[in-house]
Amino acid sequence: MFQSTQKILKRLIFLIFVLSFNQTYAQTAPLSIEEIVAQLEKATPSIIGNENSKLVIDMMGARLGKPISDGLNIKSSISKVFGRRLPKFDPDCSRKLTESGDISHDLCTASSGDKAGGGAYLEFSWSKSLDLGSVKYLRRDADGSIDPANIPPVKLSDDEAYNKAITFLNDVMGVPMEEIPVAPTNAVRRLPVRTLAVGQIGPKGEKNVVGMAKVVNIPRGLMANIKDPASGRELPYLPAPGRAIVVLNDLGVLQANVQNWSNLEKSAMVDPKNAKSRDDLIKEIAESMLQKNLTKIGKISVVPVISSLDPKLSASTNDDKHLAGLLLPAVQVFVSVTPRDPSEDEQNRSGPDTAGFAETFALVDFPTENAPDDDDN
Amino acid sequence: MSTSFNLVRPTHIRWLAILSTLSFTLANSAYGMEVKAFAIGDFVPSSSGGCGGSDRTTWPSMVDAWYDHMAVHGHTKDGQYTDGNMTIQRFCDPDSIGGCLDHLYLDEADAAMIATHGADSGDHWQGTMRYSYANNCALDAGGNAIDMNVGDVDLEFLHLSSCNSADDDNLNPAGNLGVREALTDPVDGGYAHLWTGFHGVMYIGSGYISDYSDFAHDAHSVGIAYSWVTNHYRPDSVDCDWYDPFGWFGTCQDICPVAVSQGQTNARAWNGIQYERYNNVYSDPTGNNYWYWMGYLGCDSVNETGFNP
Repeated sequence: MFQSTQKILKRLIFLIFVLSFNQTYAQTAPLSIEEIVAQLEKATPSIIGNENSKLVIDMMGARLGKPISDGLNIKSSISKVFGRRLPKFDPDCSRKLTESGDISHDLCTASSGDKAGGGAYLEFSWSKSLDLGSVKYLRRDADGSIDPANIPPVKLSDDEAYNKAITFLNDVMGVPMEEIPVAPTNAVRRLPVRTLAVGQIGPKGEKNVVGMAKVVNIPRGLMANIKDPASGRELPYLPAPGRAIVVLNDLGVLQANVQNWSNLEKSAMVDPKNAKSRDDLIKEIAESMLQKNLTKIGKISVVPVISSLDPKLSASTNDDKHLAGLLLPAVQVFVSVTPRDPSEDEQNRSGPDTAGFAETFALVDFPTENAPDDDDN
Repeated sequence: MSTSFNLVRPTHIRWLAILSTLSFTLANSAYGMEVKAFAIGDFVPSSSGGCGGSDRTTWPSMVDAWYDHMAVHGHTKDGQYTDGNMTIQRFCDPDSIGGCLDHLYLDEADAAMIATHGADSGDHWQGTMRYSYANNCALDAGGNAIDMNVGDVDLEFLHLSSCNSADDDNLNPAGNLGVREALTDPVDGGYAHLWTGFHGVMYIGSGYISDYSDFAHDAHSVGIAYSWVTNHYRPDSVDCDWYDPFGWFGTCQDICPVAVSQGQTNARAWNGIQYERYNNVYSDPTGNNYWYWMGYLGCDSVNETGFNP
């Protein structure tokens, strides 16, 4: 009886919400290409002009560090990770090609402990083809090792966490220091460090929040010193394919994940003479956005980046074991369709359309027979 | 049992805690789950009889990455639904709305991911469908919503690749259990283990695909919640001004993943947020009085203010 009353009450409250917020959304017409182009004109920085050969040359001059394929000493890293323990290796590690003869994108894993179950476990993995640039380290303590009544808060400072993280990335994971962007002295947010927390809530609403670990997030950046004469703004580093995340507590590194920090090489196929004009680039981006049936735009960001071209186009891939992507000047376009910091009321009115999206567009044209498959950051 | 969280426990009680944790895992130490994926990338305009929403064609590929990698780890691909006749019928409980079929779809899986546009609707998440069912264009879950009640059939782990699916104000709103309302069925009983989602807006693009396969991979070595919040975390990465791609000058926003566990005791809820993995599944909770969230305080996403539950 009580359950039925409760159910009816819940339905009534829910119906009030439904009637208030209109379940069948009224949709405005999709934006026209002219409307999209107008927004892109405002969002595209002046550094991208109608003649972009110099910009492409400057971006092609971005400094590459030693690739992970050369910098990672697997034997040494295994020794640092496992110490005197002898790890198990996946039996698949020696298989570098797939059944169809392509280069495998899988990881080779060395581990200690039982992956399943509640025991402690340690894992170190790397791309079978190291040109792909993925390396992982995971450390797991046994179930029950932390008493929830006494979760130890992390005391490590952000500076300590950052320094330990980049040392670990360079020393154990093979990430080149030159490709870890360093904030300028006038940065408002100097360190890419945040605190991972858990909140405990009990039946009477009693709460406890504990910062358990520091998380250091390192996007890959290539030194380029790009300057915009019109605005005076500078880009000392260009974002490039790959990122790393390191999780630490006071006892050390819990996890490090280097994702797609791939080998890049410069190629004459990327010809600054074929740099796209601002108008052509905006038209290309607008046509792509038009396909999405957008009805609103919150903000568009157009950011110069280094992307990676399909490695099959690299002259070096006559060697089946080589997978370096071509260094490609590009722009990454982020589009959000909702306001930045809306009120709860505004959030309730955001309608059926909320997810943002990101796409990458080359800054350079290619002759038709060599047209690339876009490979986003 | 005392509900104070700050007691310093004597050593022998700590060992009892470890033993009781192990007994939970003995109930289900073998793994090999049924997984399902539901993704919309091609939304249907209302002018064409649909529920609206702009297209995100890469979204299904992001979910596929998780789904396919689960199979690499020995789980069963039990159903992949992309676009098509995606209505709330696949997700809602027949106790709430007649004709609902979650027992054949969402709740029939052990682990499932749903990808669609999402909004904050008062005290709960609301996911956009392709077509209407029972006059509902949106799947409402948690808070005072009645559409979703999982855990009474099979579902243990629910992953939402969707905006506003774990907004801080919907985790525990006044007057109801927030997200936990959707993770149980008040009529049939049963409790799911974990809900993962995002505070504020998340983004779609090929650059995020690896995050989903990495999430699946790592959640067999470390906790599912922890794997979700580390692999999907992208601070200072979106909405940046062109000269500030690394967020040094404060112009960027974050992508903020969040995980929520529940349990009949503090220990069960803690085990769910800290230790439970796809290959280390605990017994179903038998209550939800205790719960944990895992995330980043202050994480500031588009369409929300800093995460502060």
